[in-house]
Amino acid sequence: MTEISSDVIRGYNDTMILYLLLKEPSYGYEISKQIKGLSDSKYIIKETTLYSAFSRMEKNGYVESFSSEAEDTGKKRTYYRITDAGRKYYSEKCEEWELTKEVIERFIEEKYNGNY
Amino acid sequence: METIKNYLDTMFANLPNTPAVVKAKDELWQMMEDKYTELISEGRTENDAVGTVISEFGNLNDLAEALGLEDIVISENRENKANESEVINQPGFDSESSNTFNSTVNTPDLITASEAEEMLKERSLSSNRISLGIALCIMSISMQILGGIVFNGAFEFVGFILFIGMIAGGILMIIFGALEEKSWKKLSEGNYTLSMDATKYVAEERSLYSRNHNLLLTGGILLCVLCWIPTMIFSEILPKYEDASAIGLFITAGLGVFLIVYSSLRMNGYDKLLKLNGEGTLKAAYEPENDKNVRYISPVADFFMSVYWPTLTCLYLILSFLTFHWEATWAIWPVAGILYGPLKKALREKKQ
Repeated sequence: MTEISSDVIRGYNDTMILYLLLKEPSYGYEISKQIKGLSDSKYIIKETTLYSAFSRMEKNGYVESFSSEAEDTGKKRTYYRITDAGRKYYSEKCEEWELTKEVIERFIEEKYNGNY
Repeated sequence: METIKNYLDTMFANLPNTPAVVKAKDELWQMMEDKYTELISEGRTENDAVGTVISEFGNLNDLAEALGLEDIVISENRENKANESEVINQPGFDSESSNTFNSTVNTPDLITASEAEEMLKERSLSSNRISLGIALCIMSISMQILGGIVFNGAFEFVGFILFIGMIAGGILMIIFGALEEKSWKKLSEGNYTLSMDATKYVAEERSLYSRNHNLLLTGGILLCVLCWIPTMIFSEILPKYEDASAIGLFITAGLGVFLIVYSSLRMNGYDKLLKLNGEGTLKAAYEPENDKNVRYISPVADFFMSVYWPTLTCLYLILSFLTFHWEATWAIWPVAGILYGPLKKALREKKQ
């Protein structure tokens, strides 16, 4: 099975995380679990990658962190919520991806698509 | 779970103790713990869960930016090499990545847990010999006195021979004791630091020993302060043999000095090892923050403070024997006790 190259996906980790935060604030493991689930286990984000994305986006003002106790276990966790700047950045990234996809697709030969 | 914690500790051991690093470690731990708990609740085995968590951890190169360490060179690779047998799975660094984060310049050599154990064993043996040697030298004087009493007249020289013999034995003990510390020699020849496991091991051993240390030190000081009591009692009960009464004094004082020197040397061994860890790294947090473990402004100050109590003991004994004013010389102890606090504060290195 082909694996996703981490170089390619690197630019879109932020997009995936922000997408998941659009609905509600969340925390590290929850997000990594959702990414795994939504990608049918085709992409598993590493903890270090996830943390560095959080840290970078927080620095850029796309997300805010706060500490909260989990409802089930009472364990203290760091939660992240998306900011307005984050929403704006997310929609820019979506447009960027549409463009990227459109351009790259023109270079993908039909015979490699699907049945090869 | 313990394996995961150890893995993370090891990964972060040599990173500087900054808020960004502590925060990152804490949050990564949250994620790993969550993942582990879920895997276990799904019915996976302990080994399986630990393996999955560690293999999906990623690598520290990813974190360089988040930690503000892009241009700091880190020796983590070596640390992992030393721990290969103790930590399961791959080290967190990609061996292929040619990141500066990964390269090493003038990295200290690592002391493993088993090497530290060996060093502590040697130190315990040498402390024993050295302190016994010193005690013998002090006690030897009593031989001279004993000789004077037992072998009157022509055979008085027997006492002298015993006296010289005991001193020679004491000095030999001291020399052999010092030679015992083979594995400590390398410390003066190169740059060394403890591995994470060694740090944990030494810190644990130290805290186990510290109670004994306090007991032995207190006992030793008490014996030295009160060493004239056996003499006094002896000369009260048997005034006829007053000459012999001083024997008890030297024996008690020797015993006291033995306890003080032995325990100080052993404790110094733990502290010396723990101080090898660079200040400000997460590993250095294992160094206990009590008065025995403070960094002083200079090596001279450090030496002065570490021999403070033994020196004082000698001073007390010398002064007392020279003047024989035992009723006055004890005042050294409370004065020294009061001075110790301000001295420690003045010579202590200020934290940035």
